[in-house]
Amino acid sequence: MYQGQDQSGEAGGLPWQNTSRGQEANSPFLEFDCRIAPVVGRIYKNKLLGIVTLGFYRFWGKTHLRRLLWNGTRLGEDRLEYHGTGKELFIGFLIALVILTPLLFVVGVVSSVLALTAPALEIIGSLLNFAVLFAFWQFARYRLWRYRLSRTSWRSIRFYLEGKGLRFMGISLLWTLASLFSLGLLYPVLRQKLLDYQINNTVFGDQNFRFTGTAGGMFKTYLPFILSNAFLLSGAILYFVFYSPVTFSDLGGGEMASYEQTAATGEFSLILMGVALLSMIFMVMGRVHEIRFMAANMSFGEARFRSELPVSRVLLVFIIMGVLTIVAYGALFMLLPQLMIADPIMMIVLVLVFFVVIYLLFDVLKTVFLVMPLMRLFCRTLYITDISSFETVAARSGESPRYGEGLADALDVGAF
Amino acid sequence: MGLATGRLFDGRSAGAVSVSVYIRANELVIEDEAGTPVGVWSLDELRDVSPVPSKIEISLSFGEEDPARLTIGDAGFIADIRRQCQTLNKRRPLQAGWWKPYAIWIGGGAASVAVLFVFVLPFLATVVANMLSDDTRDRIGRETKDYIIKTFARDKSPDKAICEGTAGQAALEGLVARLASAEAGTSTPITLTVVKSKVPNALALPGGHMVIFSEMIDHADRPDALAGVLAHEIAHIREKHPINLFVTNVGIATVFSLVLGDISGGTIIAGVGQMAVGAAYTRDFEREADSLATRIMTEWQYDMSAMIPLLRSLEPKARFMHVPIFATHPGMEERIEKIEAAGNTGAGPALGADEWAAVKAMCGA
Ligand SMILES: [Zn+2]
Repeated sequence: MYQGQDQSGEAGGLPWQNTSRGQEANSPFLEFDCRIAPVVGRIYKNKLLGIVTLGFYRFWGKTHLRRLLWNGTRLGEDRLEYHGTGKELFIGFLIALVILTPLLFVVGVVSSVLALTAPALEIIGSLLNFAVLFAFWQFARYRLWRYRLSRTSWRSIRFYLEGKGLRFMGISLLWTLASLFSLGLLYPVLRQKLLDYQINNTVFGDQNFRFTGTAGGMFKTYLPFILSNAFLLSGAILYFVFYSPVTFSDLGGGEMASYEQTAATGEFSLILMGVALLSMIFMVMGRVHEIRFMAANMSFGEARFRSELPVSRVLLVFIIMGVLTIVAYGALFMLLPQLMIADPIMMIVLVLVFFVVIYLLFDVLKTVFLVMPLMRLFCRTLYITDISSFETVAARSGESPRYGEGLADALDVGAF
Repeated sequence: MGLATGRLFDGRSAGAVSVSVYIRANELVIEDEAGTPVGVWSLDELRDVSPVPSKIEISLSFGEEDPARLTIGDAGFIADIRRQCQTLNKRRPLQAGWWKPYAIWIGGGAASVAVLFVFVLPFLATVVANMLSDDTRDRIGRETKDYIIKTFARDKSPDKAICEGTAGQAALEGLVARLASAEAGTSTPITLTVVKSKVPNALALPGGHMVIFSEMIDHADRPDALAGVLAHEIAHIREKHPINLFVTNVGIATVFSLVLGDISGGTIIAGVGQMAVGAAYTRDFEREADSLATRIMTEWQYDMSAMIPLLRSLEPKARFMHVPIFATHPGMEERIEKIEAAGNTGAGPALGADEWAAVKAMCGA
């Protein structure tokens, strides 16, 4: 049912079409059937206990939430199990605190001092700060995946992530710079390098996952979207330079805006929003095709994969989420002026309550209407040739991280 | 008791072993297809591993460290086992010594944060305070002062929060200039602003900016009492304490945001914690400021002991209100003793009768 419609039109001529090795990946592989009510209940509980314990409950709260989500994921007919504990996350955080806080602290102080000494150095200071945080984040992200995989089991056998966080950080930094300097043209190569390192280091039991996708293949996957984006942006720039009655200089200091100018500014922001929206859509399409490319070039033992993730359904999820967000914030800003009229003390109380509700609500909305539907969609549209490669795997002997995510937590990487 | 079929995963491979299971006395007996027992699990040790108990499928574990899992999809049997095994969804008892890693790392974390606060932060703050250019200090001071004035102005315009009184302002500026020119004073040019406020306070800000709240002037019964306060603030400025405090606050904010992590309940507390921790000068800074102030007052032959009634009148308020400077000035009694011990520093008065009247009239009260 869900494998239909989309594959006919848009997949034509793209690199994963020529499926090799004779066998087609047609059997269902993953199923996400996590129930919503326990997840919502858990998010509320986590938030409230988080406030009461000054945020320290988060380690245990995250663990409970993950147990629910993992349990809601079926691989073949058996569910995944999450083995992590709040204690591991908490101690991982303390370790990060002992070892890394002084380091980050010195960087933080040095960069704010740079910013204070001379405004000209401020940009360098914040760039430095950003670069250090970005590098740490890449490193932490890898360690976090390792922790999560090492705490995930299926049929009593654990997953694991080999490789080195520092190496991953290096690859990521190098190719992020390259893609920045090439104005995004080398972005597909960055994605390919990261997938390559990550997937080839992913292990279930004693067996490695393999990724054979090339930078060229990834480039072809992304090219239509990069070109569309480039086309879109240059079109927009050309429009504003040659046709628009409003030039950029006018927009700055319009102390006596005439009617036409106001109209033109409205048109300008409308077009700008349109361009941003289209560009975002292209980005989502690129990501969806990346996932399909990834699946088509991934193998585990004899097993090969295929993803039919439909662009239209993914976009629909984002649109629903976007509308809900606008409605939620719209309600907030409609109600605020009403609250202002009420007497001052009541107003403060009401506004506070209101913000807490919105703050709690938004995470629930995000989980229920964005994360879970996307997860469901991804799982349902992933196919495998034959699951038996997973069933014959033996347990891996080797170390696994003793404590949790540490620094990643301090930087608040990943919601779950 | 009924017999059910299930699949056993032994933790050594992902292959399933088809088994039949039944409950005997207080045990779960697991047999393979040939009827050979492959395991006997005690019901007390048995746990349901799924976070939400289900009526139609169950995955069982036997022992904390045992990776083996038994999966059963027989609703009747699941109901049976739930009835007979009350501990199925309970936590396993904690192992002996479970608290040791907590103790070690909480201790380590606390020690690391303590080292940061006690050694690294003061050191960095001093280094940075001396590194910053006069312009930068001036900019920070001006921004802080604007912020304070805006806070006290509330719904009024900021100009209304500043006390005008030209004669009084001139008298105070003259007094500050005299005090600053003392040997224990400072060459940093000082800008003085008097702000209308019910909080009795005086602040020295980075870059030689000084703010006196009107309530402080109201509390002073003699010019020399006010001169003592001004001398104290001048001493802070001489020793670059305000910029030191500012850098310390930046550091504390960094530490708090790292420790408390994400926004879930943490950020608001971080703000409050930072205020509580960061608003105080250290005891050492205050002693230093007091002893320099005494030297300044002696040089001009003003009466430092006039400060004692002022300090005493501030004390009850300081105890109940959040008054950044005087509430956190440690050991009021100790300070008063020190001032008394300094003996007679002079007779004053620091301002003439006309000047003093002009100062008192500055804020219109
Ligand atoms: Zn002081």
